[in-house]
Amino acid sequence: MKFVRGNVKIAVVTFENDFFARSYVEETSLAWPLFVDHTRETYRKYGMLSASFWDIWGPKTWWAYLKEIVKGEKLRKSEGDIFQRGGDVLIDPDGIVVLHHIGVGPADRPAVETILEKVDMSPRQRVDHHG
Amino acid sequence: MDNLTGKPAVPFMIQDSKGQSHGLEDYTGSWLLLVFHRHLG
Repeated sequence: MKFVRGNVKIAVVTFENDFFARSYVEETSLAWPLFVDHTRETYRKYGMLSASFWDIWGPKTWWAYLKEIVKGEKLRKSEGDIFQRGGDVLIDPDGIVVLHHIGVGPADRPAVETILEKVDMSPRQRVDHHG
Repeated sequence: MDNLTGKPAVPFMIQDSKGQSHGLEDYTGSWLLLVFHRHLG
């Protein structure tokens, strides 16, 4: 697993209800803890608010879906609150946010390499590796 | 909201799908990546 490098712990956060969350973990054999934030308090704390219609259905989204179709992926009908933004927050061992990415639309997520680069380039990481 | 990069993480206390509580302080000393999902469906 790529994220073993840098000793990064991962937690997935969802706003769905407990039943849906448990079903998701079972169906996907999710390797990481799934935090259930049905009040969306933590979403709000990290600025993950609702997206606009254009963010969700703009050209970037259609382009991303087209690429999935070309790869042979079968698209599913979305359920739930499709306007809730997602995103990624990388926190270093001292509790400092190193990356704070709020997704504009469904296709807007940082690459794994981008996240790992943040870990590798961190002064904290270099101290840990080199003493 | 301002970008939080370079700032202290906002404390949280949250339960996982198994009912176990997690707080920011539980991850002190480790890197933590919070992946905020959109919808799961």
